[in-house]
Amino acid sequence: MTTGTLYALCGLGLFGIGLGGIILRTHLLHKIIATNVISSGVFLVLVALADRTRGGRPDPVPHAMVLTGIVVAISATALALGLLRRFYRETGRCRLPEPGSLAPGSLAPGSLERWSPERRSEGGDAEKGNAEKGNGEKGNAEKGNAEKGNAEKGNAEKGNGGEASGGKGDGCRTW
Amino acid sequence: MPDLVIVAPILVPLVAGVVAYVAGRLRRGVAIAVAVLQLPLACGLAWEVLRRGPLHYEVGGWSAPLGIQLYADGLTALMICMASIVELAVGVYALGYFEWTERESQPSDHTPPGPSATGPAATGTTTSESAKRSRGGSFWPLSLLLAGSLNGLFLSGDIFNLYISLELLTLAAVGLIGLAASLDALAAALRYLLIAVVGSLFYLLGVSFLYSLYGTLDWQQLAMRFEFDFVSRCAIVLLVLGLLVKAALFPLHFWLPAAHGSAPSPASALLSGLVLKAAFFVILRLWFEVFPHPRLALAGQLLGGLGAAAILWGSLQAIRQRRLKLLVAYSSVAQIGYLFLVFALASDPAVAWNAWSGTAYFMLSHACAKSAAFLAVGSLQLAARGGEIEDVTGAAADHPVTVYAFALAGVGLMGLPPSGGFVAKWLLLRAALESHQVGLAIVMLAGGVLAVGYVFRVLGRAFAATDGAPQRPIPRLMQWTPLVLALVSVGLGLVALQPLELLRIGAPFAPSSSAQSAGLSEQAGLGEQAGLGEQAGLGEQAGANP
Repeated sequence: MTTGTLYALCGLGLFGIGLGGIILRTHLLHKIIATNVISSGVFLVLVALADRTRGGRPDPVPHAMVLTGIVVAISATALALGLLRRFYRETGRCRLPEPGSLAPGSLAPGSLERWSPERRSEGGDAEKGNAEKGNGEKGNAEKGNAEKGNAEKGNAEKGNGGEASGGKGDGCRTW
Repeated sequence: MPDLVIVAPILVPLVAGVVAYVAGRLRRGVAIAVAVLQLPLACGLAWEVLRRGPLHYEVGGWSAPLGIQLYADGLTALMICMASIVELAVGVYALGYFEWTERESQPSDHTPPGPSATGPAATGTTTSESAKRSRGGSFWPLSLLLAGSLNGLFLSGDIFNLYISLELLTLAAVGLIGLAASLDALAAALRYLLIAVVGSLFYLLGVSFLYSLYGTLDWQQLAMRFEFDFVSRCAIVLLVLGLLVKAALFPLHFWLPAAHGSAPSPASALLSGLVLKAAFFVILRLWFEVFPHPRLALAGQLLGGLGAAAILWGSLQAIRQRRLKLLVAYSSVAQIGYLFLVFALASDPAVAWNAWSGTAYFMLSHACAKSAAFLAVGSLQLAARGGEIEDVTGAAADHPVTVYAFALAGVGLMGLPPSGGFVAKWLLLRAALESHQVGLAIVMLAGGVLAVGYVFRVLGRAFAATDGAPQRPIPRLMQWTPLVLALVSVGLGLVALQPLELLRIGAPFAPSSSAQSAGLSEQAGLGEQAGLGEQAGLGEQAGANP
């Protein structure tokens, strides 16, 4: 086995690990990291490809592809992190709504809105279980919202609530 | 000059997109000017392709494999024309849309957001006043970047460049979804970004496999060297799987309704009309012009079967929806299914041309019809202060133009004559019947009937009598642009000959002898094949030289 093959196999392994991560993990930060693991895997395969010239000088084309790919991966990661921060600030959550609620059949009108604080306060029956889970932080958040009637402040509180509740509900610190 | 023709469609919108970021108040002007300019640029490219056949261009004079290859044939030119038409209409519409939504949201900034503020752009919490105000403004640079990366994708001559433009397209699309000030949109944008990035990485891994085998990225050279061994088959699976996610074919469509349904209406129109087509375009290109498709008949049947499932599933879901934009989004799931039928149909060489050209024409007419539908629905939603189908009750009395636009777009979606959708479906249907794939033909017809069902659900409400309050007036721009776009989609049925003529340039198939004007088209087809063969020979020599 040449070094190139070894590298390529390691790359494929990383690809698999990352793929497992993005499917199995629900925490959004994990998912973002998992995409980065996948891209590292692909880049490793590409780096190994430079060996294809057999002896002699390495093939420059895969290197150029890796460099370009890194730039793309960084931009995508930055955008994802930016979106995640905003998502966290506005909901105090780090997980997307259950995949079940997004299954094609059950994408009922506004199903995605149910978990938003405003909708939650209306007391949707379907969401009760979930609502109870996240009560610790959500209760606080809603109070903040109602009393101050100021989106900014409410959001800040929601953020704090999320952090303070730690392991409970959708606490973003639970890994 | 010929170089300019092929480079300008990429360069102009990309540069303008960057300029628009710093142009402040001028960004709307920049964006509209570029959208207007893109139409003659696209026509220029189509003209040049018609006149001189497929065009090649090496960016900066660097040859493959290190340089970037651009390539334009009839399909490319048609796609770029399609993109420029839709982008112009959406740009003009967005002028009215963002002015209106920003004016509407101004007073509500100081009241706590509640269930009463359920305008399409006002659901959920808003971050802050300044962020909100900048939202409409961000649309322009993002839409320009989207336009530039789309054109880059259509013109790509190598598979790595395709990856880059796919990623650029994804980033621009995610930005556009995120413009809507709702939590739905935020979650949908995140989900779409993660899924699309993983799809792209599958594609990139496939690219690296192909490069390791054949040492080239240029897809025409790849096509000549392609062998059907194990690693190549793995590469095909990776490439197609990655692209299927982005094209939202049936079991992988789960992200689409939320993303397209929660984006601002002009963005939905771009996403559903153009971005989905881009991923499909890459599959179409690779499948028939790079992969040895006669040996992929079984996989083609599988894709065709999934397409048929998508038609039925998407249409049924569309009928079940209660929200307007989700209905239109599920309709996209169904219409994407029609595109994938080509992989099952074209396995029979006798009908391959009909299936292939019908599919390309379907992309064109669906882009116009679906964008028009999203724009019209966006107007109706704003006028009715709500996104439910119930809310548009009686809209025909107050907004006849917009309802008419939706109905015409619906004609295109159903595939009734004389729309472009009819021509496309006719070609596909003929291919299905002539290759004895009756099941697919039945699904196509059933899809048309189901489309009648969901279009008339909206129209039925719009024409129903109401004693409620009259709907709000909406700007003229937002009434007439959807109508113009819908008229284009219908008009495509009347001028089908010219686009089909354009499509034949550089096409992987020639019209078969069973076509109506047998003698003429056969001759033309033969000439073309000879031309292609010659080119292929030249390419091979070039490839062998280094």
